[in-house]
Amino acid sequence: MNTSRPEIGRRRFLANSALATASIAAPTFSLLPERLAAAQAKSASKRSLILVWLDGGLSHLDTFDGKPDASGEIRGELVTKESSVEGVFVSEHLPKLSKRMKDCCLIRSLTSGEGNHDRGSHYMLTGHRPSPVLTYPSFGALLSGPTNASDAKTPSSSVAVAGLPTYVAVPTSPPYGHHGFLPRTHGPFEIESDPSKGNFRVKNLAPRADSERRLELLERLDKLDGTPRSRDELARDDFLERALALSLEPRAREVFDVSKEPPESRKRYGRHRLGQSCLLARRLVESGARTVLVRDQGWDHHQTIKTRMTYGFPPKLPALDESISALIDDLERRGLSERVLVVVASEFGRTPRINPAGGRDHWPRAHSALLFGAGLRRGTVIGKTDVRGEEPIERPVSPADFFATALAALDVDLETVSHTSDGRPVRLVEEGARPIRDALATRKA
Amino acid sequence: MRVVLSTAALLWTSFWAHGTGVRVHANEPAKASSLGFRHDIVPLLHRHGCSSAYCHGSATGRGGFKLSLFGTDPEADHHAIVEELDGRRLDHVDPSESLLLRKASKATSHGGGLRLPERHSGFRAIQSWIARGAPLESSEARRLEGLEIERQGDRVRAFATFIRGVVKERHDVSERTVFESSNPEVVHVDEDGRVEISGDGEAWIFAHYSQEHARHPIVAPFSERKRAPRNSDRATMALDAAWRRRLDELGLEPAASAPQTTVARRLYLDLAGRPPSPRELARFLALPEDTRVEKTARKLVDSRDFSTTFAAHLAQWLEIPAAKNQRNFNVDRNARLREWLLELVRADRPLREIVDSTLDSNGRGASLLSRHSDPRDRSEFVGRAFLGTRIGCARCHNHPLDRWTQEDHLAFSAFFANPRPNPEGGMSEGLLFHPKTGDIVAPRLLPADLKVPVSEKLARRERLSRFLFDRGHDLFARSIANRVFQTFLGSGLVEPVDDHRLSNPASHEPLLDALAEIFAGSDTRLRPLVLAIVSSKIYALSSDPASTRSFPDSAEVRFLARRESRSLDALRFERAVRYVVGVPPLPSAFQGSSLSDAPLAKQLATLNGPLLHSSLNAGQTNVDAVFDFRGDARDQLRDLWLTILARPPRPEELNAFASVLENSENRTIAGRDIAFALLASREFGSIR
Repeated sequence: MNTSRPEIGRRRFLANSALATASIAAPTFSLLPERLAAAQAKSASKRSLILVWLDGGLSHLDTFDGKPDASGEIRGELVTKESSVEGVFVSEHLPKLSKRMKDCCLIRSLTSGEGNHDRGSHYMLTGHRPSPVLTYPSFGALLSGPTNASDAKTPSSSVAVAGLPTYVAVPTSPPYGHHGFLPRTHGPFEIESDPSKGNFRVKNLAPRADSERRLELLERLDKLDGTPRSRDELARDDFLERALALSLEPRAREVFDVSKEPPESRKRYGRHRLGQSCLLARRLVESGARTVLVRDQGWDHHQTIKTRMTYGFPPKLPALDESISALIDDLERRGLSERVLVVVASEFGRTPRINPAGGRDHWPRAHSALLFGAGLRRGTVIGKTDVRGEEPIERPVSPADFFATALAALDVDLETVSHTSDGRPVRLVEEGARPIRDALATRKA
Repeated sequence: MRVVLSTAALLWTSFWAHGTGVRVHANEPAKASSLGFRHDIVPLLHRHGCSSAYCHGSATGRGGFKLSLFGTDPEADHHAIVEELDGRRLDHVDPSESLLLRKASKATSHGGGLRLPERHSGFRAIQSWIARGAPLESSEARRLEGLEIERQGDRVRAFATFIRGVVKERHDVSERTVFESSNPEVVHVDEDGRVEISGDGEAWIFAHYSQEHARHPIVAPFSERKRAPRNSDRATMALDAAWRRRLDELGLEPAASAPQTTVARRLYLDLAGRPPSPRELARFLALPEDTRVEKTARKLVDSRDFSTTFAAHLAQWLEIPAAKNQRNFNVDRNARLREWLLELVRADRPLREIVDSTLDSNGRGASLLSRHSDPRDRSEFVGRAFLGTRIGCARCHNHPLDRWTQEDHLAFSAFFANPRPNPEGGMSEGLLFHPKTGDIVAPRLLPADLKVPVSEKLARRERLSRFLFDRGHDLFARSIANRVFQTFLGSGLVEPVDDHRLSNPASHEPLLDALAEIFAGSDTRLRPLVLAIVSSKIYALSSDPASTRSFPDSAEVRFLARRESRSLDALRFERAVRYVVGVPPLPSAFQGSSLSDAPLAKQLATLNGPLLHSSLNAGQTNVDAVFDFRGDARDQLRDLWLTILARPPRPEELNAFASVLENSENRTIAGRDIAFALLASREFGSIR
């Protein structure tokens, strides 16, 4: 029995580790059952999501919904130019994205009415308006649990890596990016560190110098514990197995190691937090992670928006431009653009009129989101805002519609009903949510 | 003169209504000539599924026809049927040709299929109602007062009480009532109220009729009822008695008591937030068996550790985040709140003071309310924290399974409106405006079975406070007693703990009553309740499934025939590790753990993180002390097991690990390695 199991971890750990000389006794670490590997293999053939969350609220007017003809107090000091898609004006600080607009799908008519960071985030990240009695599960939580998603038709070249978590947050998840009313096991694995740092490593991922001997004793002790396991103890065993697989299996650890990436590739993404986070996200989805949430903070520009978006290190807009366009190119180059959906979004837009502090405040009545990949129709522009960027005048898109569209693109069955702990049935998407057919058109055919 | 007369008349009528005046109209549906939409047609639409969430009751309706969910808004539904589409849904000339009936009987194609065949009495009722002109109210001016459910042989029946003028009438409304079972695998109930017992355990039958709800328990014992052996069962305490009676009723036999070392570890973890030291364990075992738990517990509840542990529980119940999760601008406020709670617990103040202080705008707990800006958020917080109910459901729709309506929610929220400056100086009471009509909403207490009516003349704070502590509903006492019970047993008698409602009965109702009684009877002090629970037989139950007569696992745990082993959360785990290894404790229990509670991160932190490795390698720890001298390996292991797991090692454990020590070059290092295995083990991470 033991011999038929995949040889997990310890031997390879030994071979690859400087500690190999520490011990020569070789009991096999056989804690990882085949089902883990099998589950992972299955998820690798499914579509994955990279969600780049611009925490704070992205100014739609200064990025993807430019109004060059509006008056100065609306237009602001940041210049927008027509992009590779006719009629779409994109910031001059986003030249690379501007060129790639013809491959993306841009939603300009998002509108939610939720102008508070928490409420807006909840609506965008869970597809449900915040409720006084229930926190809903986020994108990543829904995708990491059992859904009725059919397997993607496109065969995948990527390899599943055992032990890799299905939902990873880089570096952390925003509030409401979590498991909601689903079990905690659906929550994100937060790496809590910055991949652009020279000493980057995921917290507690690498085994310690003493681990070798100590883990072996742990296995021995756990085996002697013959008490029947309770639900909690079974869950603990399950996650102990995953933790062991993740930290002892060099391939799994390597996925997190962005330094394995060729220097020119790292440079393309940009040597800053957002860029290297996007690079890590690509490595993760390529190896079978279902959802990676990249959180970029600092978009809440109430003051001097021009300076704050274009100066500093890294300057916000150029960093965004560099990271996302590199991610798009990389996915295309690796043939992953059919399998991976990239979403760039935030909780709301910003006031069309520049405020006295030279910034823009919260504006939930109109904002933009950029989508790419997963077979979405390229060069699609959904909706339009009025001349001042205040309200949608064509196809208003609610966060529920947006959520449904992304899930549909990931092959999730929107009719799925999940259940709260007390058995209340809850639809995956809010009632009345309409996925944007124009964006999904080519896939349905 | 007039006054005297009318008082006499009132007395007389109330006597009449409650005494001889009750007329029972069994099996008699309301007369066709008097049918009204509210109490006759709405229940039919509910019963036949028309107003369910999947049909016309969904938020956007179905097929252009929208009803309120489960008929919670009869006025709107009446409008939808009678007025919408220029009244096209009804045919007043030939009622049976009405679109409403043609759809329901599938004479016209209907997405929802056949709901009401023509020969059905419900069909005829709707027909007669339309023929009467489809009125909203019945011609008999009557008011629905309550609903009762009765079991008659293999059926349950529902009886509604109406007040008509001065007469109280009781009608059998079974034909218009929705029956459901809380656990269809045990008891199945069909739409006509026929019950069929198909499994062991307990199910509650719920009846829903026209916004009134009633419930009735049906028990199907797991085994032949057994008399508890009286000689060994000294069920002197009210808790044990209530618990044991219920197990007898269910035909469940309780598990044996857990090993005494296990009970000691539970006790220290629960009351002091850490495991016992070897010396404490020895002292515990040296006490006479029948008083050891109680004596130890009495000592523990006076400790500083108890106060911090329970103040941290209170902080969680009052939704004060752990220090590591709070936002910067809340740091001072939260610190003051925590300090206040700690003082309360330390001084053993009655917990009702928390409520009083929260409602007092100058109280130390006032910021629990003022941190919410919307009066509705405040009332919902009060509902969750002090009443254990989710009135928040009624913000958006009448609570489909409970008695709160949207108007109740709003009127209760009006109590919490911000005071406004008075032009003549000082502050006046705040106003809440109705979101639909814009009118000022008069504050009103939630409908509950009050023992003592609360006068509307009292000040708001006084009214609220009397309402919250009324012994008629006992919501505060039950809610807190249930939460305290949950901290010890892992789950509450009512789960979720903030969702007490008619349709969510406790697994042990009499036990919850007894707990609430102890808590309320001691003027809502924490310690008497805590001592009663830990001294009970329930607390000492074994969690080992092998210790019972193999009833279904879930039933054993749910009905407290046995306990269930559960994981220590990150905070308790970290506190336990630091204590047994003997490195400095966390600065405060309010801080939160350095570990995450996310399952994968928690395991990685255990395996590779600094908590275990660095603590063990720190030197001069309790673990190192065990291996200071090159003593007998087995003696050392015994000390290590007692230090970490609070029990002596089993022979097979001694055998397996003695050789590890004996063959090691450096016993201190080998000892640390074994200690790591113990700390990361399944057993140490659980409370069994």
